[in-house]
Amino acid sequence: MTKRTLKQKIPQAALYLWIAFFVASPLVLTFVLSFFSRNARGGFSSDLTLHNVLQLFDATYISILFKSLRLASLTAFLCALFGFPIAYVIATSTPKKKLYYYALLLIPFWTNFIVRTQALRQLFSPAGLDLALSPTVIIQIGMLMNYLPLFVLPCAVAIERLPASVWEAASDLGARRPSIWIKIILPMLKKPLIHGSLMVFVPALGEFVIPDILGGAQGFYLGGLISEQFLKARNWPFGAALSLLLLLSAALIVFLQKNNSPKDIAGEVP
Amino acid sequence: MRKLPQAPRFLQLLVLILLALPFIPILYTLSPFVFESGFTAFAFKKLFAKSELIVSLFRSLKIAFLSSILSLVIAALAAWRVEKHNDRIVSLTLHLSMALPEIVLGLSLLLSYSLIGMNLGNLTVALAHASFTYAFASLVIRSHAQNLDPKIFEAAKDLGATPFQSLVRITTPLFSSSLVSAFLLCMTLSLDDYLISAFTSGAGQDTLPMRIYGLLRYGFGPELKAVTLLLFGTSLIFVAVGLPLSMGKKKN
Repeated sequence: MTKRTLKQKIPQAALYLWIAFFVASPLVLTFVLSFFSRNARGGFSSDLTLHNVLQLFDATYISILFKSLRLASLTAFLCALFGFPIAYVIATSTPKKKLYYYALLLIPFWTNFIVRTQALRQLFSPAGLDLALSPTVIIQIGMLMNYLPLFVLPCAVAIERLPASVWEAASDLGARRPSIWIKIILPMLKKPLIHGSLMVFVPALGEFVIPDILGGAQGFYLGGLISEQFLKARNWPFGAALSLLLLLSAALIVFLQKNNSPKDIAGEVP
Repeated sequence: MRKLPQAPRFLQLLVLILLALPFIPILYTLSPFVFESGFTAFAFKKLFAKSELIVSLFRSLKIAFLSSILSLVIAALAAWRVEKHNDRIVSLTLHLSMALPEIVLGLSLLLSYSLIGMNLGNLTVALAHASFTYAFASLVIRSHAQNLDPKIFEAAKDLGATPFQSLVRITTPLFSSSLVSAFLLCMTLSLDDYLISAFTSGAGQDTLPMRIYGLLRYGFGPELKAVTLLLFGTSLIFVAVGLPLSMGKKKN
């Protein structure tokens, strides 16, 4: 090994070590833990069991699971619905206007999200607007507001990268605006749109704080259930089993990205 | 490169309204500072009387600073591996880290810490924060790197710069703007985090968001409104500093 390659190997090894310690092994351990048994002292022992995984199919847990899946998929859908026009307007505006749009998008996003969510609760409380909305609706609004930038940022970058020549060619050949959108632009944006929605869906599936603050007693979702198992009930193996679905959905993102070249896998956080 | 046609006016207006909506709850919460005379002094007096809030604020700042520095180093290494060597493993890891629900990262790190017998404290929280912020920081650095001309580095080498000289005198200054905005992003993400901190912090060592969360049970008091004002102000400053820095590169 020459001196030069050695100099490159050391930082590379450091990075891989970091990934091994702080990304890979914690996830593998969590997976393994879901097959361990709980012991009497609130710890766990390495007797392998399927008990935790089977317990997931208990009616109570299934209903929480479905509730969470519905919340996360609706959030992803709404983020795409509202996020796409926002991303389009941002991507096609002049640099100066773009700066203002990004600032508007990011200032609330960069304000601590607990106080932001609490502020939303205040607004919808009887002392505030008093619209008598159901907690589920308020939770949904909170989720949309919190996750919207996660969709808009990568999507705006993807739209920005579309060459204008595509649009011009289509309109020179006589295509009307709606058909250019439906037949050309949207199919070209299929990958980033799916990716952006997943970037919302997966973290939203494990969301804990927003439903907890906005929903009160009705804000009990998968995230709440998992943290209860870990921080209160001290049933770590079952908590790990509950997070299997989250692990799997995160793995799905990686799987879908696998065939892209590393340089395509880009969004951008300004 | 020319872009798609600009959005029609009505859509631009609609988007402006949509983007303004999230400000309403925040401004509503902060309205007493404007409309109630003497509220500002009262709220901040209350805040400074709550020493545990101040203590947790400084703890959070310490953790955020430590984790952001660490995160920048890892993010730069990751950006280098992906951009220069097309490292697929690193690129997929970055992706995974961004998409992973916070709760999974929190519980899996808690599990690892307890297995290796690490005492929970500020260090474990800082490490945990770095293990998700680095992915976002790396994104900022990478998008900057994609806009740079690789010839600059070749030129430096041809002119006899050692790799170290090149790193200190060429690479770091070139990347300074994205490093600053990545740093601000890491600080924000770290200061914002509740869940991962809740899993990885030691007993009685609450971070600011944890402390706020705990206090919310007793209502949204004036001291919390003062904190909201401070955090909203910080966000304004961070966006004002960080955003032009990370957008500026596109003009070059």
